[in-house]
Amino acid sequence: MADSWEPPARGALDDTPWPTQLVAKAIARDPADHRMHGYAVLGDLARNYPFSDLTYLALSGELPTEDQSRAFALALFAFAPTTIAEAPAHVAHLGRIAGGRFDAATGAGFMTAANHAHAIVADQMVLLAWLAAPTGSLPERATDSADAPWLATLLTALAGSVTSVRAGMSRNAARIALLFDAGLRDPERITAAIAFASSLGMLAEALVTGPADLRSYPVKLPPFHYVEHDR
Amino acid sequence: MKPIETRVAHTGADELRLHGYRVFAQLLGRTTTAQALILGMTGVLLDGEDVVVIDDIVTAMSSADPRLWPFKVTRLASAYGSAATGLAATLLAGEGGMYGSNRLAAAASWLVDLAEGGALSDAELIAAIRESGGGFGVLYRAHDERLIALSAQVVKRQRQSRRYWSLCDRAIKLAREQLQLEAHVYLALAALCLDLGFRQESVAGLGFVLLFHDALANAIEGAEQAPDLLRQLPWSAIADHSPPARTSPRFGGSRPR
Repeated sequence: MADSWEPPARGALDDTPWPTQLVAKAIARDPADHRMHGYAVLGDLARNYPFSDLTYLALSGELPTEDQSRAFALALFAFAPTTIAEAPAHVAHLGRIAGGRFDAATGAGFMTAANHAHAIVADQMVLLAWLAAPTGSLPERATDSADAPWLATLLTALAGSVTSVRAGMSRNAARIALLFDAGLRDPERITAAIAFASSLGMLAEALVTGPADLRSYPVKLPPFHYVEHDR
Repeated sequence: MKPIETRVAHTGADELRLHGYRVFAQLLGRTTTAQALILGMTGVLLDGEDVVVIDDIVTAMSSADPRLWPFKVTRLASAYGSAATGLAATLLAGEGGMYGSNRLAAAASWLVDLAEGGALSDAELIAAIRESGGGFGVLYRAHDERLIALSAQVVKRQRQSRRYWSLCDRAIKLAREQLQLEAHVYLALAALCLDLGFRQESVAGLGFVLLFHDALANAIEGAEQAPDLLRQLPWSAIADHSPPARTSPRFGGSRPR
């Protein structure tokens, strides 16, 4: 892409000897079959692994063991049902009822989902430290008795597997413990898993609403009270 | 359900409120774009003498070359024809990074801490410069051309003796002379905002304003052009450093588990 264009006044952007190629580190192009972290996607992974293992590979760089695969798949299920009460789905819903195109409304939803995932992980950093050396009682931030019914269902789904999930954990703590069991320890990789999975609920809500629902939107939920400055 | 208190705005039947002002009765016809922008951002309505500083800042920061990191984001994100996506991506992609609000906030925090510490010797100020985040260091060039231009404009406006600018100017000169270190324009922006009376927490918001007009220029042109070249670069422009080809433990199997 060399050209003979001359800038109006040369500067660092013009004169610095920049690299000339963008570097691919995870996905290799192949005319017949792209590879992810070295594995042929269609010729190998698609034939031999569930999609959740491909997701794990994308996030961790390696394929999961069988135990890791089970824990990771369950974590994806557990994070997937983002409800309309949660900000990512609410954002996408607002975009859709305002007549926003699907890509635009859900783009805003994806953005919020990623931020939501970051907030969850930031809130549970103390849990991640505890999971790495689980001595003493659970950190208080990782507990919520209101989530006990959901936790009971999760423990049933775990069906006696060896797990870091503990009685008394909050929903977010238990879901992060599943990712920890799956071998994800790095906050960015955990954030990526949560953002990916939790986007599904957001998409589900966005797909079933549109401008026809505008008049049924509760504008005053939650209530905002304007307070005047003294002027 | 506990209400969320807002000091920003209320929309009534015949009048709008913004940070305590009646929009139609008090602001309309008397308020410039920069005044409205800063009022929204900080809750402070700058007077005519002060608001020209914002005009100077925004103009000096018209560094919208699409090759620059933030605006390459704009171009890529608007390459499918949506200026809105380009704008949103620009404002979001660098959050916490080397450009924008967090660096301005760090520079403001540094200046406020120094100013609250009272009179500083040169040695103390140099030590503080060595430990500062955000305000020093210029990439790929000898100096920050925006800082040079803006500094001249501050003198032209006779604002160089104000508290934070004085401190900033002294730090800039000391860093240059003693450490061969150039200040970044964000240090100057933070000083100017603090001298305008912005709360330290409000300075970071200026980062969005500064990105916005440059990003808008690129988003609009980028969406109009929507070039195939940005949607997908030619493979010859990509260096493949991905792991070597390998086969999975199940390669050769017939079906997924």
